[in-house]
Amino acid sequence: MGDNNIGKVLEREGFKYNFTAAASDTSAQDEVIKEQDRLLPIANVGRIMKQILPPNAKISKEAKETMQECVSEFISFVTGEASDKCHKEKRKTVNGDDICWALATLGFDDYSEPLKRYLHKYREFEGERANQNKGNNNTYENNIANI
Amino acid sequence: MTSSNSPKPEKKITKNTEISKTQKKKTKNAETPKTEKKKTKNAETPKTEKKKTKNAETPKTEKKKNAEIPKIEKKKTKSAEIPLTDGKTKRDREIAKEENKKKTKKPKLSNGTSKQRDEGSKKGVAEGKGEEGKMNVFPMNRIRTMIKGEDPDMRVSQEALLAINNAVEKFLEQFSQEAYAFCVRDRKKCLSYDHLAHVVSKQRRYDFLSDFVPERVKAEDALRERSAAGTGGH
Repeated sequence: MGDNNIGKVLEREGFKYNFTAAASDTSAQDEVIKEQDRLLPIANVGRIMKQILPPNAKISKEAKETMQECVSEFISFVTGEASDKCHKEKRKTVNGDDICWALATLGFDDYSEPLKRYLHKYREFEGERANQNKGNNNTYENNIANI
Repeated sequence: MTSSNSPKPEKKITKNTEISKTQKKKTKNAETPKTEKKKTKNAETPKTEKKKTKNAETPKTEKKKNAEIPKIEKKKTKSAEIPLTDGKTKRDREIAKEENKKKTKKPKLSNGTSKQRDEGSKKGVAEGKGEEGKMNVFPMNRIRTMIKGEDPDMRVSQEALLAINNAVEKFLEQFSQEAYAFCVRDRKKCLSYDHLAHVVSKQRRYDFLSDFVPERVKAEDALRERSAAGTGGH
């Protein structure tokens, strides 16, 4: 089981690695992968910070790393709330509305409204694509089920 | 449920067969590597395809640079719609930073790190596209992995991932702006940890970060408080 999980994660990262390594190496790889996946990439975080601040603003490396932690904690905070709601309602899948609800509940209600509009446009977009490709729906729905 | 799931495969079709058109359409970047890897199983083909997109991107980014300047200057507005483009120098710096970190993290896996570096740079470039960049600022797989870490039994729909991606971007922008306001007040040029910590301590909505980003205190003050609380060894 553990090895399979490691394999899946590695495949997502885009490379194949030999799994005949010793147990200690395996645990080391596992820790490295988890550490890497625990945070969002600092390049993405830094880029958004630069874009929102004035051109002459400088951002210390420590601030970027701190922001990585904050952003990851924000994701856990919001998804934890949404997940709790789904458990109470005995649902197994978190959807966009649950995220909007969680944001409003946790004090980020100014995010919730634009996000609803965003999801609305997304659903319209999806609907159009679905209509254009009706004939292919069955095959690809099966693929989704397999994933 | 089912309605939201059905349109997903169609994007994969277009991405695999019509690479040039995907640049125009509003498709998700995070899905591209999945489909390519699954179908072809050859490590080379997705790389070549990604490289083509890089060449096509350069003129677009140059145009967008001009459009960026007036938008960035508008501090007051919440500009979630700023096109996500980078200058060449910025890309190089960011890529170098990523590479440095990956080197330290994985000294043993030399082959793996080299491939990951390429992926990191490609993702950065891919996310620089104007329209597509708006859809996915952060890698979707990473967000999914983080959420799975929280509650492995819970499933997360694609639109929920998009919602979180969007919310995180807003959070990051707002937090950065508020921290920068303190940076300006202190008349500093560089945004630093103290400014972030100050935002967290001053605003209630950021209380969930107080354990992660405490304000820095001098050691003597901390010791004084400790002795006052009676936990000291006196």
